[in-house]
Amino acid sequence: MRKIFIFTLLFFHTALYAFQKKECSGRITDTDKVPIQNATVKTKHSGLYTVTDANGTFKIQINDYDTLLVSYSGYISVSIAVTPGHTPDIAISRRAVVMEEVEVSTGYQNLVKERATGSFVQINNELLNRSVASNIIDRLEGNANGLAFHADAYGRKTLLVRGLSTLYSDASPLIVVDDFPYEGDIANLNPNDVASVTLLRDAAAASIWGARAGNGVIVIKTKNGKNNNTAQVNFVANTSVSHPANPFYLPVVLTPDLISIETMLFNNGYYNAAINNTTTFPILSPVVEILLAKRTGIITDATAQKQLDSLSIIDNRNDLNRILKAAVTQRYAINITGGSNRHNYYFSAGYDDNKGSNKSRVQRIAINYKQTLELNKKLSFNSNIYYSLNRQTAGTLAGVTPKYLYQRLIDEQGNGVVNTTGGAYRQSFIQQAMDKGFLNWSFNPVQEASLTNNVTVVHETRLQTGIKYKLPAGLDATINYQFQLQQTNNKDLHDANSYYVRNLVNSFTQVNTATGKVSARPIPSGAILDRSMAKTEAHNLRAQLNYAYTRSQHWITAIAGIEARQVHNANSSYRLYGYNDYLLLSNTGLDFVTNFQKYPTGSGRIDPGNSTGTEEMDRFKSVYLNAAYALKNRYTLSGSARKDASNLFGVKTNQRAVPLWSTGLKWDIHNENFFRTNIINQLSLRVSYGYNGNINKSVTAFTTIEYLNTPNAFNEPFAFIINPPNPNLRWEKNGILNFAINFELFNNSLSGSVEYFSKVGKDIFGRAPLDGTTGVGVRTSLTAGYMGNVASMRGSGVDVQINMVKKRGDFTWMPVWMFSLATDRLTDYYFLPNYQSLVIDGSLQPVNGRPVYGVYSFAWAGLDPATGDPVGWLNNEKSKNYTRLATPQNIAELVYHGNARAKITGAWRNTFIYKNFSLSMNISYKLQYYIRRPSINYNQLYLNMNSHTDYYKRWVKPGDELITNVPSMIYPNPSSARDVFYNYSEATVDKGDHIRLRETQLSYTLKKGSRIKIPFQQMQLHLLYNGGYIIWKAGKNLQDPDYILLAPPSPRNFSVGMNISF
Amino acid sequence: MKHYYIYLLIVLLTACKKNWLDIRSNKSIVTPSEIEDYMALLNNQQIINAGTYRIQDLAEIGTDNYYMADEIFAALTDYTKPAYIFGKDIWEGAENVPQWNGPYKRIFYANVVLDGLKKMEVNDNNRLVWEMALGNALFLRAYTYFWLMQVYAAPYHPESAALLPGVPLRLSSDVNPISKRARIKECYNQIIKDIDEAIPLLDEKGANPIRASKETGYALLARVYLLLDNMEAAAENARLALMVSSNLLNYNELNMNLTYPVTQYNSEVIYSDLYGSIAFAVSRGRVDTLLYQQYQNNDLRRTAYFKKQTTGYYSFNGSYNGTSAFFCGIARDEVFLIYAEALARLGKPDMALNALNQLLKTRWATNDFVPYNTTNQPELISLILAERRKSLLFRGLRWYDLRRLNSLYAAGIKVTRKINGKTYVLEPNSAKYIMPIPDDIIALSAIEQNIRD
Repeated sequence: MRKIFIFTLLFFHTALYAFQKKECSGRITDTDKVPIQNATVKTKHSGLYTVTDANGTFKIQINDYDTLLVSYSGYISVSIAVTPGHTPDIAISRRAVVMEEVEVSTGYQNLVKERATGSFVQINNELLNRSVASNIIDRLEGNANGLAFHADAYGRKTLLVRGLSTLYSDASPLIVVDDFPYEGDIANLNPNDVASVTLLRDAAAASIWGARAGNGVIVIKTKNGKNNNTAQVNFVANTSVSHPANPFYLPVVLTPDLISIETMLFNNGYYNAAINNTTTFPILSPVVEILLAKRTGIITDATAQKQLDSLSIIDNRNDLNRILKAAVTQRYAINITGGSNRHNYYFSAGYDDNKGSNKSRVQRIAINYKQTLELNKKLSFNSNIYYSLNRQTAGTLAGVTPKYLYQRLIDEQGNGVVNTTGGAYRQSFIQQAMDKGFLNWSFNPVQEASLTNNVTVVHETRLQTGIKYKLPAGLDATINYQFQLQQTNNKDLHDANSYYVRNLVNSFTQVNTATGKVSARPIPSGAILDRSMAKTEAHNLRAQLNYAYTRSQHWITAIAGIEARQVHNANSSYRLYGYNDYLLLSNTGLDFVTNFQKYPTGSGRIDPGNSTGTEEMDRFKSVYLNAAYALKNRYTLSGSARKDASNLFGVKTNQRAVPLWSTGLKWDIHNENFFRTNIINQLSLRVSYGYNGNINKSVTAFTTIEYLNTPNAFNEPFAFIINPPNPNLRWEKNGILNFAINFELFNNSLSGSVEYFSKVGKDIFGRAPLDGTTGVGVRTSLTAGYMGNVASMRGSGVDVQINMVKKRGDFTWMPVWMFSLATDRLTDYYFLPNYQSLVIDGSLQPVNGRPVYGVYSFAWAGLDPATGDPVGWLNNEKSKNYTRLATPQNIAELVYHGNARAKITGAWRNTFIYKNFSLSMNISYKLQYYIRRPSINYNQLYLNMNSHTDYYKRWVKPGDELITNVPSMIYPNPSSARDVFYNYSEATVDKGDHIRLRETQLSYTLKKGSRIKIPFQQMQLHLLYNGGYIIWKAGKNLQDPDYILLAPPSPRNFSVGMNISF
Repeated sequence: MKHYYIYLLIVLLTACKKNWLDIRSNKSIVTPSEIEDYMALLNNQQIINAGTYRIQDLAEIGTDNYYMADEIFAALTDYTKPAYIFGKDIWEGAENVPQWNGPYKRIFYANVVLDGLKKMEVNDNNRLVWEMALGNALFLRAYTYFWLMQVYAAPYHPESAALLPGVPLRLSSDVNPISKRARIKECYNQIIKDIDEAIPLLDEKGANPIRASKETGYALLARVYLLLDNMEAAAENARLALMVSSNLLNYNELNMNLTYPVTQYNSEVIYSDLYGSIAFAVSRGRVDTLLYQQYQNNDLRRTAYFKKQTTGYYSFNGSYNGTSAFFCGIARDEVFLIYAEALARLGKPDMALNALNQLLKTRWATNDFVPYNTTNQPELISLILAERRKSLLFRGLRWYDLRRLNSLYAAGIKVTRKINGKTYVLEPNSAKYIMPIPDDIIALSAIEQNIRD
């Protein structure tokens, strides 16, 4: 009975099935008729799918008329119409556009990016050439995901890879050029020689660099020749023109108002002390001199008014505008590359000449020759000779603008005007001194600028040589040696007629008390030469074994090596008086011993100006190992370990060396059998964990002492201990966990990566409140703050990059989005900050639980409606006790705004290509941070006439407190703390968030054989806007958040250039 | 064969000299390397011989040598106030307390010198200086630990010494190890060990009063053994110290018109050390009336030590430092008194009397002194102790005596304070004979606190 039932059921089932569905079977092969296993076969209408077996065959149910979709990773998908019973043999072909195997370099080996478990960002040659900057690092801004360029108030940039990981140690990433750490100034490198730049962001990528990898690594690879290539010549030339920085950028109070402020101060007797000072004869401003002449009756009221009126129309920023010229930079580079079957070479030469807007000039010549020679099948040699000469002539007009806006810099004819407030003494004093026989003591900024001669010459030589020997069993051995020498010579020649020399000569000039005339000049009135020399000499030696193995589904690569490094730094300086630049003579008979009576007051010895300088020798010894294993193109496991030892650390030998390691795993999901989709071409997951290190050279493991000049009561020399011995001193360690997804969708038209990282910094150098039992006091002046491996930090963030390619006919649009979030936070830090410094001077004052750099303010309670005085909060009550308000006693008294450095950075780059034209523009952004902006400081206004246009927004009458935060101007100013409190209160903090248009390049490329005939292989012409335009900003009171206290380079900045390949 | 040069190069690279990493990184940093550098650290009077590191202030503040008037007490602001009336907490959260950090800074200096010297190569040319420096550092460490023990550890008693906490013993210059309190016995053993090690290295007499010598070593040992109730050793070391010199200052030769009649570095000073005090500074502390009355008219100590102030009360002006700073080093009068006491307790009254009389002869006006001659042991001992009290004032030694006598001999001496009509008593062997450790030290090292209930 039971059997019958089952039989019946089966019968019906089969009958039903046969009625509705039909079957189709077939075979999938490649174009060579080799069966393909695991290819996906899908039916379009019924939505069923199956995979092929080892013979490439499949069987699938279909509707009467159906379409089969066949797909296999790396092959072009096909669709084919089928009917039941049809047994198609389907050949699928490899995807025509085979993805080029991108190689990333760690500096120790080149890795196929597909097999890399770490976080690498490669910036290829094309991207580097979007910018024409003379410094390769500048070309990375806005192009390298995860590399942030933070600006200080003067626009100076700090590079950070994935945020901060240290407090007192160097936070900048390690720069590696051609496999060795670069010890010189990266500005010496010719960017046209660079083939690619790779950013190593996580432990799996960077930990091969061990103790120096804690801040990330920038690996720069220069171009090589290629075997079996005919000689190719590439020529690059471009010229940039940039307008001078805008002298009107910083907002100041205008001349008529300055005169009225000075008049007010004069009438209140503010200048009387200076007027009556006949010891140092301090400078009085022209306005004060006029008012004084009026008061003493030397000139009439009418004359005085006339003189003041004539001053009131002057604004010396106009003079500066007339003097400053557009900066012009010309850059030329040529390279020749080629090779036979056993030899290849790369030769290049570059010349850059940057003429600044203020007569400064930077010139660079760089010559590079690289070659590889295969002696036989096993042995090859390579060598590289790099030389660069960098000559920098200092900008001579820096800081010459007279202090008072109404003082001319040049007259109508363009001649320099004496700046009566630029020297050290009043005009009347100068006149009297000249009558006695002194040199002219007046200061003429433009003339002084023309007499300045300050040139720095940097020579850099880099010699590299290596051999490579193929051993049996997939092994090869390499030995590489690099010698790098950077010599910096500065020559600062002070002309005999310069104010600098005249002032020095005069101040030591001796006066005969009887005659009142000059009797002797201990310093001769000749030129003074200051010379300083610095030298960096680095030796690197590395021996490495490389192993590679590939068999069917296994792939192994491994390296192991040992290296030694020595870096020697030395510097010294000397000074020559009475120097004659033509005859190379100097006056050696000066008296440096006598304590001279100086004029008009004081005493002192002549500065011999010689310094024995400093000398440093750093030595490192390391062993390292790195291996990766991949299975079935799906699973890659990597590991690396390194041990560094140096003379900087540890008296205890076990602490002298630090072992650092990392491990990583990659899963290529797209190569899995079960993964069947046409939409996703590539999908990989990566995870890595490991440790990188960091070094702080300012702390020593050894005891250091300082002798005092005087003996003790028993006439014996005695000394203090400056640095306690710290045999446990060790390297900072930074543990990084990295999760990443890489993807490519829709035939690679959309690709990108999303990475999450988390960092834990251990043994970070910091100050510690040490148990007094150790004998090392905490806040005593002689051992101010014990420094050791005491702090811990945490950081995390996200890096996202999405690339898109959209084609329509001849038109291509390629947008790239980059987004980086990086946070940092101190987790174990018990040394209390100086709360006032924390708010005011921006010095490093770590606070436990907060980011390393934060913006803090005094709590602001608005303006007093009756007086316009600033009001603060003290113990939850309103207070005008400014001295107390400006010296907070604990962190709770302060307002914390947030990060001082952007938490989020990124860029949006768009490239449009139409036929031979290409237009590319880059928009970058910085978000989530705060900036302290300057405002009016009355104390500074009275003292130096340092002003700010917030003066015009100040409280004047009751009711103004509703529309302004700028305090009233009062005289006398009861305390400078009133200004300090306001200027560092919540009222002067703005959000720094902004979006900026960076380089925009329009280029036109012609290739040989196109309609327009050219005698070259390829020629590219380009027009570049160098960028700097602010598109959007959150802080309405800020002009450019990257430039708070200095005018930014003008956004009017363009380049034209060409790139020709023969 | 053909691979050889590769191997050769690898060998060359790995064969870097062993001490390749020993080179100094920065030349401008002065790392002490010569014996002279270490001596310079020991010559630093601001560290090893300065009044700012006034641990002995705590060892005198609770004694019966002085008292304060109500209004002066009321005006006090620091630890002096609670310490004067034997309060439970005296630091009230104060940080960087010099009474703790100061002595430990001395110990740190000593440890730096010891660690440095022990690494040096000693040869016939430098042996003498090396030994002198090493001996000095050992002595400095022992001397400083002695004072720490008098202030922060319980008085010595043979039954409890192995159980009760002493002070943290830091014996290396490494600042990394966490501080832990050693037991009282360990601490005194370490002190004795250091002095025993130092004595053979040192000269008979120091070149100056901040240098240690065999004499200072013996004298300090005598002081330590007296405290440990080891009278043979106390007597023997006192004798050895007096063998080096038994020179005493003749008080008849003092200029009593000077504000401070006893001069600095006088011939009786064996080892100079000083401290400052707020509580019994001339303007505040009044010498205990009963104590003053113990001096007889022809006892020159009465005029040399005490000056009548405008308030009508007496202040102490007899510092062996010759200034307002109080002397707390080692002077020969103390050695005589230790010798006398030890001999008396050992049952050698004649020798004891001899030592005592030799000292007192120089304290009295010429010809006015009548030598003692009692041979009754208890009488003799109390006589010596009375003279001891009259001689060694404000040197931190009264505290040492109060603790020692109450603990070992059940002397039952009480110290009483009267402030605003209220009486405060420091009972014999009270927990208040142990000063609390500063709060920041407890917070940073988590060592046991001294509970003064």
